[in-house]
Amino acid sequence: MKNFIIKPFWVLLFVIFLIWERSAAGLNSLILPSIGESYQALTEIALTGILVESFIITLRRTLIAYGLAVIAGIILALLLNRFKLLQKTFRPLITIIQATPPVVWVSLAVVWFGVADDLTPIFLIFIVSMPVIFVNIFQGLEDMNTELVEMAQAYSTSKYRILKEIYFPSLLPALVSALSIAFAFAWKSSVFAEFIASSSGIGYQLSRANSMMATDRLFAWTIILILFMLFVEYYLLDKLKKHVSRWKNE
Amino acid sequence: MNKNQPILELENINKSFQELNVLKDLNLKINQGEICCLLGPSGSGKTTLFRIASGLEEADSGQIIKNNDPRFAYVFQSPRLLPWKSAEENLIFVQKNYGLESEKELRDLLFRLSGLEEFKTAYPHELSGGMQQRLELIRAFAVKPDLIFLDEPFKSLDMKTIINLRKLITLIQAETEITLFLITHDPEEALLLADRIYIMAAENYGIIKEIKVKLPREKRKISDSELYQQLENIMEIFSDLVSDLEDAGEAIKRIF
Repeated sequence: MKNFIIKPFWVLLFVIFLIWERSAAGLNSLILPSIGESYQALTEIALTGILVESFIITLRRTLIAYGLAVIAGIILALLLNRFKLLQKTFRPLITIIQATPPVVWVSLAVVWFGVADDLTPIFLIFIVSMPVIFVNIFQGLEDMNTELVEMAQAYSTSKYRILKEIYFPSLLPALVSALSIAFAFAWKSSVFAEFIASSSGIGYQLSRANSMMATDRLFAWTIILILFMLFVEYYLLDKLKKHVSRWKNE
Repeated sequence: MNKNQPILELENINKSFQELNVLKDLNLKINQGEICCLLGPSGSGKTTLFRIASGLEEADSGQIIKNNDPRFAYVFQSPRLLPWKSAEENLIFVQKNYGLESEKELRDLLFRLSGLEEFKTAYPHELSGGMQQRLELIRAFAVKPDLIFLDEPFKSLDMKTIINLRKLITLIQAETEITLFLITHDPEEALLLADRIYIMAAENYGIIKEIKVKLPREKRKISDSELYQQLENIMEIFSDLVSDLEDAGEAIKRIF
């Protein structure tokens, strides 16, 4: 988390907290709860066990759909790179999927699957994050250094080794960046789908807090969502990014 | 294999790109243990011939005869090193294809000869251009090849590095008798290094002259009268290829 713990950010955070606290003092807690009230709401949901339960439900859905999206995105990119006819046929379709607003997909999912606990969020996460993976990997394949592949072939390197030792490492930076962007999409879509059409998970809890006008809870859940995203981006993925770009001139 | 026996022969090679004829009924022979140079101006088909001879590209027609299944190695014009592998791992990468990855002694020797001893664990981006080219060169020797194809390996390097690399090549070649097939556009370089020089010209869709250099390599200096005469001959061939500009004087005077 080294990147994250830098002074300017903490200064900014302090300023935001200051403005928040100042504004909250002059406003009804229904409109803007104070930091203390939000913290209290956070401890409440943590103590009752709703926090862990909902978090695990949302995380599980996200990981399943995200995993499927990663696999599908990579396979699709490989196929469309290899076969030009497939590329001409399916490439515009990906753009169409990307151009369609998530709210349309959720509405359709509700029509198709009903208010299904798992299916609707999983469907939305998949449809939103798969194109992100696909586009990044596809571009990575297009930018592949064919001279290195030719060198390897000239030295009688097997197809398997070329795949493993040239294609894979040269795609790795694109893959990690795709994983990072797509995870942010997946996490947000998951909560969005749960908010609209599910009876469990963080999104559902947000929707409940919203309908009960429990703004402090709304804030508490939002803090959880942000903290988790920061952990993934600045801790997990940051390590991975450093590892894959260790040979790069930076 | 005996010296002076052909290791690679090209017979009646033809190659064209769309409508453009590049090589027409070309014949060429490279003997075991010699340094053979392909010399010619840009656009004379050197690289095309080189790629066909080395198997990187197919000819439209003609025959390529390899004797005793020689092992090929390559030195490309600009280094083709795997950026995610260290200098030594780049050597091991190609050695593995021939079961030579355990030959650490060979790698160590090549690193020592090329002055890259200290940089075995460095990634290519940490090396200068000249060092990368040296690594590219020793990678070719690391697979214990019978024939190395070198495509203008000294292009865009400084004079000191060039002399350094030429020395390295001739030193290893003299001891191992590995056959070298070298592309160059520099007549002096060809005369200093080669046993046999093929001169190419686009106008002929192939080779226009074959020159043999008999003087022992270690004694060669461009100032030597025999070598100088050969250089003059080559320059004459080249200037014959340049279109006649005698009538241009009038136009230059008028337009300027």
